Amino acid sequence: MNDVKVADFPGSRMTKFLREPLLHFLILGGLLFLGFHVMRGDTSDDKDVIIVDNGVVADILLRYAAVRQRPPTPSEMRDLIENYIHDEVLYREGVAMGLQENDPVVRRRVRQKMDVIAEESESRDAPDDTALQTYLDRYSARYAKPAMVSFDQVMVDPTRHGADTGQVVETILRALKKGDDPKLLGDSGLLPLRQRNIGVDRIARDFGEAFAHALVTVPDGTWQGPILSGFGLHLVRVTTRVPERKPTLEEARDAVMRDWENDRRRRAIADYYDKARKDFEIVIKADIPQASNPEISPDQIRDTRSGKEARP
Amino acid sequence: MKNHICRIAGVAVSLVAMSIPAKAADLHPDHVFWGDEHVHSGWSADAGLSGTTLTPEDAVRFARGEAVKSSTGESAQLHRALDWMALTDHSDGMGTIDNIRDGNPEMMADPTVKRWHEMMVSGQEGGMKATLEVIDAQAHHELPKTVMDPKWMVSAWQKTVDIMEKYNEPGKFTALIAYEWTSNGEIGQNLHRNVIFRDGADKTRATPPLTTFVSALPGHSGSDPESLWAWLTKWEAETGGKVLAIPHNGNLSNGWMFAENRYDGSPLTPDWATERARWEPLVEVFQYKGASEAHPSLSPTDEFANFEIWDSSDLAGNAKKPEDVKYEYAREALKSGMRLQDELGINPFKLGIVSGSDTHTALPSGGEEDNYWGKFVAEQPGAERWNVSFQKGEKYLRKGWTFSAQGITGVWAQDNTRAAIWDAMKRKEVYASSGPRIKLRFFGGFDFTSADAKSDLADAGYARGVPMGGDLNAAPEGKVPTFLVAALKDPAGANLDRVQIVKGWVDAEGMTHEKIFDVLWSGDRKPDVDGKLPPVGNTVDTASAKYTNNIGASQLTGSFSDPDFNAADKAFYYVRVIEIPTPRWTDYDIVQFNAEITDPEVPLVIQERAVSSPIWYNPDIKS
Repeated sequence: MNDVKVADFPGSRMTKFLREPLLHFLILGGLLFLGFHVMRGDTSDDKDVIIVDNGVVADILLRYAAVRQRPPTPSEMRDLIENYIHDEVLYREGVAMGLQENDPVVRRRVRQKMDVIAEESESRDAPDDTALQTYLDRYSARYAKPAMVSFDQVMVDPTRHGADTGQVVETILRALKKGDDPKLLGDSGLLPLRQRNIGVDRIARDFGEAFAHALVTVPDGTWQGPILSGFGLHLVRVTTRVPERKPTLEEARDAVMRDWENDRRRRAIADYYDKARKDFEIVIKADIPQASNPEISPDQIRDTRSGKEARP
Repeated sequence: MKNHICRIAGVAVSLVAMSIPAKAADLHPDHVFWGDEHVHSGWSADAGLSGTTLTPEDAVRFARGEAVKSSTGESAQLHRALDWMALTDHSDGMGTIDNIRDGNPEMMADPTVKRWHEMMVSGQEGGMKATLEVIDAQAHHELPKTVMDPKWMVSAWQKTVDIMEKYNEPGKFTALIAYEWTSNGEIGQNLHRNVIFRDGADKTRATPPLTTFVSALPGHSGSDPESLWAWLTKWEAETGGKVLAIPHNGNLSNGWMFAENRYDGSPLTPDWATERARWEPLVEVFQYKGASEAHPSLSPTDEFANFEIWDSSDLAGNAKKPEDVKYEYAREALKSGMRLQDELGINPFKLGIVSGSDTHTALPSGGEEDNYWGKFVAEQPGAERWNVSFQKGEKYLRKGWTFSAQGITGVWAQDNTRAAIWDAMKRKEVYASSGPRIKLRFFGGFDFTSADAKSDLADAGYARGVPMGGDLNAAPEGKVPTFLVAALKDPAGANLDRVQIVKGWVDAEGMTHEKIFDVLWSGDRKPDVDGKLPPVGNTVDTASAKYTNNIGASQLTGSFSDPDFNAADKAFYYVRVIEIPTPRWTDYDIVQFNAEITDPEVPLVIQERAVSSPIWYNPDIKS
C-alpha cells in the first residue's frame, strides 16, 4: 500500500503557474515523467509517495467550478481526488514497467513539452520602443497607411450598351467635361459616385484590383478615362490624393507588438532546438535512399527526421 | 437617458453638436463587410484528430489575408482577405485533442483513446477514421470519460479569447469571440449552434463554453437546445454582455432542426417559441457540408433548389427518411414559423440568413472555388481529394467531391467593429453568399415607386421602408408592398444571371405556400408561356476551368410589387441572386492538380448565388 497524504481543502494561492493550467499540466506531467527515478528512491521503505497538496486540490477545484459553475460537493471532491490518485498510481506503474520506452507517442509528447517549455521560458519582458521601432522599420510595408484618394466616377455598363459602349463612353465624357451632373449620367447603380478620402485598399475591395491600380496614374483634377473594372468602363475625376505613408510607432503599436511577440515565440522554439542540437553529434549510418527529387539536399532530409540520435 | 447626458453636459454637448449635421445618408449602413461565422482550428476535437495542427492564431491570420503554413506544410493564402471572422471551435472536447494526438499518458490509459491516438499517428486516413469514430461516440454519448474532463478546456478557451482579442482591430478586422455548441441529439442528429459573442475578453474570458456533457437546465438533456438557451440567459444576466446562436446543418439533423415539438417530444409552447426566437435570429444556409436554403422535394418548381444538397443521412450516418426533409431547410422553416405563430403567438423561426465555411483545417477559404482548402486535412488540395470517402451508409457513399467550397456572409454596417457586425446580425441586415461578393440591397415598403429603384435606392429604402431582416406591418387600405432590389456583381467575379424574389405565405386555412418570381434578368430573354425564364447560357470551358463575362449583367436594379398580395396573409419575401455558370472547385482540381475525375456524376460547373434575409409582412400588427 502506497503512502497517500491528502491535504486540507479548499484554500490556495493563485499563482501564475495555477492560472495557466495547460502549462501546469505539461510541466507537471513532464516533471513526474522525468523525475520518476529520483522520486522512486526517495523514501526509506522504498514506497512511492503520491502527495495531494493544496496546489493539486486547488487546481481540481478551479477546473471543476469553471465548468460546472459551482464547487464540487464534498463527495464529488472525494471522487475527484480518488480519480487523481488512480491516475497517478497506474501512470507511475506503467512508467516503471518501461511502457514509455521507444514509444513514438511519448517521444512526440516530450518533444511537444520541450517546445512549450521553450516558448514559455522566453523572456516575458515587453519590448521597448527601440525594439518596436526597429521592427516597424524592417517590416514597414506591412504597416503602411495606404494612399488615400478622393474621386468621382461614372460607370458605363457594357452588358447594357453592347456594341454602342464606346460611343456612350465618349458622349458621357464630353458631357462631364462640359459640367453635366454625374448623377444623371451612366449606369453606376450601387457603385458610389463620390468617394472621399478612401484608402486604395478599400478601393480595390469595392472596385477591384485593376481599377485601384489604374486610378494611381490618372491625372488629377479633370474627368479622365475610361478605366476598366470588373463592372465596366469608368470615367473618373480625382480631386485629392494623400500618398501612402509609414505610420508612427504610436499608430501601429498594437499590430507591431502583436507580430513582434509572435516572432519572438517562434524564434524561442527554434533557438532552443538549435542550441540543444549542438550538444549532439549526429551519426547517420543508414543507407539513405537517393532522393528522387534532386532539389532536396541530404541536409534537408536530415532535418525532417523525427528526432535526435542519442550518443552511445 | 436625457438626465444622464445633462450631468456630463460638456461632453454631451460636443457629441450632440457632432451628430446633428450628419446627413441621413451617413446614418444608415453603407458598407458590406464580408466574413465567416464558422471556423474551426486544430483545437476542435474532430479537426485535431484528423490531422489539423493549426491554431486559432493561424486561422485568424489566414482570414486577415496573411499567408500561413497548412497542416501539411503548404503555403496557404486567400485571394481576398475577409473583413471579419468568428472562431467557433467545438466546446465538447475543447483542448483535449492535442493531448490525444500527442499521446498524453493520462488519456492513453483509456484503451479507446489510445486506439484513436494510434489511428491518428498512422496517417491521414487513420486520422479521418478516428474522427468519424469520435463524432459517433459523442453522438451516442459514449465518449471516454477522460475526453470529457473539463480541465482540458479552461486553458484552451482562455487562450482562444486572448488570440481573438489580439487580432481584433476596430475599423480594420473584426475577430469575434465564439464557440460551437455541438449537440448531436441522442444518436447523431445535427443540432449544432454557433454561439457568437458581441463582447470582448472582459466579459467572455472568465466563463468557459457550455458543453453537451452537462445541462444548464435541470431536468433536460445536455444535448437539448433549451440547455443552451438557459446558459445564454444566465450568461447575459451575469455579464451584461450580448450573445446569439446560429443553428446550422439542419440538412444533417434527420428532421430535428426545425421539428415541431420540443427535444423531449412534448408539444411546443409559447415560452419555447419566445426563447428560440430570442436566441436564434439567424440560420446558416451555405457551408462545406451542403446547402440548407431549400430542397428540391419541398420546392419542386424551384429550378435552382437542387444546389449542393446533402440529404442522405444525419451526422452519424443514420439514413434519412423522406419525411425528415420538411424540418431541415431554411425556406420551409420560414414558412412553418409563420404558421406556428398563429398557434403560439410568436414566430419561433424568424430567421435571417448567413453563411460560413465550417472549415476544420483552420483555413477559412469559403467562397474561393479555385482556392478551396478543404473541410478536413484529407480534403486539402490534391489530385485525389474529390474521391476520398467521407461517410458510408448502407445505401450511400459520400465522397469528397460532394463538399461545397462555400460560403461567406455579407453584413450591412457602418463600421467594421464587433458591435457593428454583431448588431447587424441581430437585426438580420445580413445575407449569405455561396462565394461571390455580390453587393445586394433589398428594401420593402408601401410607398415606393419604380422611380425609387435607381442608384441611390438606399436613401429611399431607409427613409420610406425597411431593409432586409425588417418587418412590414398591416398594409394601409388598398396598398400593396413594393420591394426595391439592387444587385451588383462581384468586382472580381462573374456576371449575374437573374434576381429572384422568393415569397412564402400562410393562407386563411393555415396552409403554407411558396412562389418564386423572376424579377430582373440579363439580356433580352422572354419568359415562356409558363412564365419560365430561359437559362442564361454557359461559357465555362471545363478543360481550362475558365469562363467569360460575355453573358449576364454586371448589375440588376429594379422594383417589384407582389401581384398576388393578400393583405390578410402572413408572408415573407427574400431575394436570391443567381450568377452565370462558373467552374466548380472540382473543375479547378482537374486543371490545378491533374485530378482524374472520371465519375460523370461529379459536377464541374456551378451557379453561385446570394440569398438575402427576408422581409416579413405581418397583418396582425397595425401600423
